[in-house]
Amino acid sequence: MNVNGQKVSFHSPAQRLLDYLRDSLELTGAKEGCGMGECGACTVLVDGEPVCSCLVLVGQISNADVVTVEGLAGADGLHPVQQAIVDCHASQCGFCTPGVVVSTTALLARRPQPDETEVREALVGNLCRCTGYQAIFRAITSLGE
Amino acid sequence: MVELLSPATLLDLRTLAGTGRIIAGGTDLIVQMRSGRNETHLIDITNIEDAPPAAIIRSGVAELSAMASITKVVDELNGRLPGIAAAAQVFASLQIRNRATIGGNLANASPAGDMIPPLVAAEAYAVVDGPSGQRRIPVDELITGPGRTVLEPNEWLSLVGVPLFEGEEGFIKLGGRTAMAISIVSLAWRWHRSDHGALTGVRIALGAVAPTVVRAHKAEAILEGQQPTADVVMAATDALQTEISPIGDVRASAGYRQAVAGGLLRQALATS
Amino acid sequence: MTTESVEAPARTRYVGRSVPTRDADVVVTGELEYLTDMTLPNMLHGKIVRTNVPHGRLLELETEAARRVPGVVAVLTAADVPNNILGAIVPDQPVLVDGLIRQFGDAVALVAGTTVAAAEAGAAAIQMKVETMPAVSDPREALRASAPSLHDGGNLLLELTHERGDVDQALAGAAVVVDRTFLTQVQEHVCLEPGGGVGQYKNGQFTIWAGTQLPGNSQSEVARALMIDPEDVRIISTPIGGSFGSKAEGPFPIFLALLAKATDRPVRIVLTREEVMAVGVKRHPFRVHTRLGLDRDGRIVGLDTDAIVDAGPYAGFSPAVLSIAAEASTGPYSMPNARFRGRAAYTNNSNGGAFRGYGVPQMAFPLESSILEAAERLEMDAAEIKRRNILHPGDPHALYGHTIGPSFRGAETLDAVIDHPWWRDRAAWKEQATGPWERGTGIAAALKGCGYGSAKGDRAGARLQISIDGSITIWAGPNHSGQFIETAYAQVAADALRRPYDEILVVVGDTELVPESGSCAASRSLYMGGGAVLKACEELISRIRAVGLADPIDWNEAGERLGAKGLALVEVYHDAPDVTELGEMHPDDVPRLHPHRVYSSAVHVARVEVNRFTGQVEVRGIACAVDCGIAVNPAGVVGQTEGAILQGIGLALMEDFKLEAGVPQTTSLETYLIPTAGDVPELETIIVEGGEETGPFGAKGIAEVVLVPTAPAITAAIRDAVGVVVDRLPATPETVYRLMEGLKS
Repeated sequence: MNVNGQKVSFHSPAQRLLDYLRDSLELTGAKEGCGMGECGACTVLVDGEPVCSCLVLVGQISNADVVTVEGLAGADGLHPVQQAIVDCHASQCGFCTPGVVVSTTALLARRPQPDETEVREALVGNLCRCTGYQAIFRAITSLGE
Repeated sequence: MVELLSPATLLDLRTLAGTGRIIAGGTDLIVQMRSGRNETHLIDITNIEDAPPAAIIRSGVAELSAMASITKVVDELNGRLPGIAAAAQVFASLQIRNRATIGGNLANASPAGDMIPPLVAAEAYAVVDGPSGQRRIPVDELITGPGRTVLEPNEWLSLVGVPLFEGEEGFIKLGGRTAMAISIVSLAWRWHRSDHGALTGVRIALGAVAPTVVRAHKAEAILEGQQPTADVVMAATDALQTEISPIGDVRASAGYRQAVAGGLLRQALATS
Repeated sequence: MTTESVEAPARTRYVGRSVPTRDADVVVTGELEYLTDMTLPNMLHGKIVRTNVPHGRLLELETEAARRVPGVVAVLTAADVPNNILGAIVPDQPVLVDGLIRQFGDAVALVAGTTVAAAEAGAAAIQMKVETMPAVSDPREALRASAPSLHDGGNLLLELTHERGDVDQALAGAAVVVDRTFLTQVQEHVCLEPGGGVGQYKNGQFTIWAGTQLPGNSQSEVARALMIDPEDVRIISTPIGGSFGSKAEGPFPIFLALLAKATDRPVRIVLTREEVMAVGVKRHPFRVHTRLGLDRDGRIVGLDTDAIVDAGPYAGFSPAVLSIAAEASTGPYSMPNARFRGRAAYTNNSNGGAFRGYGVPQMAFPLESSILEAAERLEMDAAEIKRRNILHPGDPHALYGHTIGPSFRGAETLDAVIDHPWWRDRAAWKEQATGPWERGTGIAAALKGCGYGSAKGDRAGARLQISIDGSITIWAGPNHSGQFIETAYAQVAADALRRPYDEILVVVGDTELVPESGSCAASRSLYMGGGAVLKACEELISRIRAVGLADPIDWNEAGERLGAKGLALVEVYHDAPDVTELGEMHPDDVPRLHPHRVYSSAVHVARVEVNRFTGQVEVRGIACAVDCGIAVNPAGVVGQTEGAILQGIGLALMEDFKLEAGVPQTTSLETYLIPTAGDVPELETIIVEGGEETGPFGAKGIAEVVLVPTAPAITAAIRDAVGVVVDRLPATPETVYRLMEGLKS
C-alpha cells in the first residue's frame, strides 16, 4: 500500500484503514465521527475514489494508493480546494473539513466544472453540522470560475 | 482478533470458501460487527483477478458483476438500465457506492436494500458461485426473509443478469431525508406505454413493505393493458395495499407504509 | 448574499470585514490537533461503564474480574469519588451512580487500560446487579403524586409563573382566541466530533483537555468532586469539533481527573457516537398549551402559555432553559397582557440540556403558529399582524414589563423579509407548482437575549500583554467551537489598537491563561468576550498615553516603557449593564426571571414544496434577516445563520430522538437523521445592522436567534401549501401525510 506516495506496510489485515492511518501512521486528519459510513469525516481516496476509511480493512486494499487530506497540499502551498475552503469561510469547527476536502478533490478530478446537482451528490456522504453546506458549495463554485 | 484473507483468484476463493464469512465492500458487514456481530474469519472477495467484468451485454441481458463496486457497475452501464441507475443514484453516498456491491446488497437481504427492487422488477437472475460450481436463481427467490437467503455459507454471488428493456423503467424511494436515508418505502417499475398511453408488460416491485422485496402482481394485473386513468390507478393502488405487509419501526409506522406505497405508484405513473 | 457586499464601516479597518477564520489553514490540511487527536507519552485509555436500564437500583457492582483483565490499570466506582456530586445549578447528579439509576447510560464505573481494547475488555468484564424499576417517561405522569420520585422532593424540578396584566379578562374580550397544544421533540446536537479528551495529573496539578463550553464551571466541578482547590485544576477546552450546547455540562472532565489521579498517568477517553447519542444532553421536548387572543384590528390582546418541559433525570441547565423560554414566550411582540406557567419535570428520559436557542425555539413554534391561525380567522395577512405587534426599542417587554433596549431592530428585520421577493411573490410562486408537489411560503419571527440576562450580572474577563518588542497577546473567551471567535477578537483588538490584524495573537479556552469568561453560550462569546477584549485594549492605550507616548504609537517603545514600569500585563473584566429601566417588573422578580436588556432578532421567509402523495416536504429557500448590531465579521454572521438554518430544518422536518420507556431508540446517524448536502435550500442572509452601545464596536450575539424562526416558518409554508396545521415537530412525511388525510375526512 502507498499512503500519500509513501510505501507502507501493515501487520493486521483486518484493521480498519481509519485506525491504521490514525494510530499506526499518526495521520489524524481523517476523523471518526460515527464508525459506520454515515458521516464521511473519515473520507480518504483509495485509488482516486473517495471511501469511508472506517469501512475498509487494510488487507482489502494492500495494493492500493491511498491519499489522505495530509497528502493534498503541495510544497508550494495549499491545494486549490483547501484554499477555496479557507477563502470562502467554508469550515467552522472543521471536524468534517478533511473529509469534505477529500470528497471535493475527487469530484473535481472527475468533473472540473460540476453543476450544483453534482456537487450535492458528491457531498451527501459528508455531514457538516456547522456551515449549512452553502459556504462549501460557494467554495467549490469559486474553483470553477 | 479478526483474521482477514484476500484470495487472488476464483480458484483460491473456492478453496477458502466456507472457512469464514465472505466480505465484499464491507459497508454492511463492518457496521454489523461494530454493533456486536461476531465474526472471527473474513474472506475478502474484492481482489479476485478473474472476477467477472463490471458489466457486459450478452444476448439481450446485461450481466452485472455482483463483486464490483456499484459505482463501477453503473459507470460501465453508461446510461443503460435506468431503473438500476436510478436506484444506485440514491443508494447511500458516493463513498459507500465506491465500496458496496450488488452482491453484498442482495446477500445482506434487507427488505429496504435499494438495489433489490429494480432487479426484482426486471425479473433478473443471480449467479451463485461456490466450491461445487455455479447455479442460477431468480433474484426474487434468492432472498427468503430479512437477512436470510438461500446462499450456503461457502457460496457467494458472482453476477446478476438483467434483461435489457426498451420501455419505461425507474425507481423512487421515500426516505426521511433527500439522500443518505434507509428507504421507508421504495418502488421500482418496468412497463411499456403505447402511443395511446396503455401500459403493457407491467412489473412493479416494492421495498421495505414486507419481509422481502415483493412484486405487486395484483396491481400489475390491474394496470396491464390499461391507460392509467384515475379509476384504474385507484384500483391498482387499492390492490397494491393488499399485497404488502409492512411493519412499523423507528423510521415509520406500518400504517403509513401501507398507505404511502400507493402514493409512490401514483408518482411513478405520473412522472415516468 | 455575498459576504463581500458588506462594506466595512469607515471608522474601522478590520471590524466589518470577512476575515477568514484564523485556524482555517491548518483545518483544511488536517493538521489541527483536536482534543480527541491528542496523545501524551505513557498515556492510558479510558472507558466508561454504563447502565442499560433507564430506572433502577444498582445493587451490586462486581469489578474483580475487570481488574484481572490483562492491560487494565484501574477500575473506579462511586466509592472512589471523594465527593460524588455534580450539577451547575442544582447538584442533583452523582458523578458515578451509587444507588438510584435515573437514566439509560448513567455511568457506574470507569476503566483505564494500556490500550483501548484492554479498557473495553475490562469494561465488559464488570458485572452489575440491577433491580429494574418502571421508567417514568411521561412528564405529565411524572408530576402526578402517584409517580415514583426520582429525587428527594419529588419530580417537579421547577415551576415558573409570571403574569402581566389580566390575561383571562383580555382573552374573554378578544375577537379571536386560538387555543391549541403544540409538541416539540428531543433534538440531539450531532457535533461531528463525538467528544472526548485527555486528563493528566502531575505534581498535584490536574490538566484536563476537554471540550467544555464552560471551562470555569468544569474547573469548579472537578474541584468539588475531587475535594481539591480549583487552582489545582486547569481546563483546556479547545479545539473541538462542534458543541452547540452539548458540551456545557456533565461529568466528563471529572472522569478524566479521577482516572488520571488514580493511575498517575495521562488518560484519554474518546466517546463513541452511540454513547453520545444515548446519554448526551438533548434539546428539551416541550408540551405547550397556548391561548392567543387578538382584537379585530389584529392587535394581540393577551397570551396565555402553559409549558411542560421534560427535564430528564437531572436538573442540569433546565431551570435556566425554563426561564429563557418564559422570556421568549411572547416572542418579539408587544401586548398588554401575558401569562406564563412553566413546569420542568424530572423523568427517566434523555437529559435535557443546552442547545442553541435554549428553550426559545420551543416557544416560537407555538406562538408563530398561533399567530398564523389567528390571521386566517381574521382574514388578515400574517406578516401584517406581526408588523402591527412588533416590539420597538423602549417598549415594555410583554411578559416582564422591563424596557427593551435601544439596539433592538425587530421592526426593520421584519420589514426586510416582508420586502423580500420570496414573500412578495408568494402567490405567483404557489401557482407554478407542478406534479404532486404543492408549494407554499411562510414567515416567522423571533427574538433572543444576548448574554445571561443583565440583571443576573454577566461578566467576562480578558488579559492582554504587550511584550518588550511591542507584540500583543490576548487571552480571552471560553472556547472555540467553530464560531470565528479568535478571529473576531483579533479584529476587535486590531481596530481598538489601530494595529495590523496579523500582529494580534489570541488564545481562548484555557483556565490558566484566560480570566474567567463565563460560557461559550447565550449568544455572548463575541458580545461579552469581545467587550472584554475591547476594554483590555482601551486600558492598554490609556497606559501608553500615561507613559507619555502619543500617536502614532511606537509599539516597540510602548512595550519597553510599559515593561519597565510593570504595566505590560492588562487584566480587565467587562460587565454587562443592568436592566436600567425595570418598568413594571418587581425588583424581586429580576433574579428569578433574569430579563435581558439587549436582544437580537431574526425573521425568516421559507418556501417549501409538499408532495401530496407522500407528505414529503422539501425546503426550496430560506431568507433570514438578522438584527446583529454591527457585523464584526459578516462571513461569520452568514456562516452562523446558514448553519443554524440547517439545524432548524432538521428540527422542523426530520430530527427526532426517540425513546421507548426511557430507552433510546435512535442512537446512530443511520436512525437519527440530520440534514445532508442534499437537503440544503437556497439560502440568503440579510444583515440588518444597528449598533449596540454595550457590545464591541456595536456587535450583538446572533448565533442562536437565527435558528429560532426556521421551524415555524417552514410549518407556516406547509400550511400555505396543503392547508394543514402542523402542531408537532418534526413534520416528517408521515406526520404531514396523516394531517393531509385528516383534512380529507
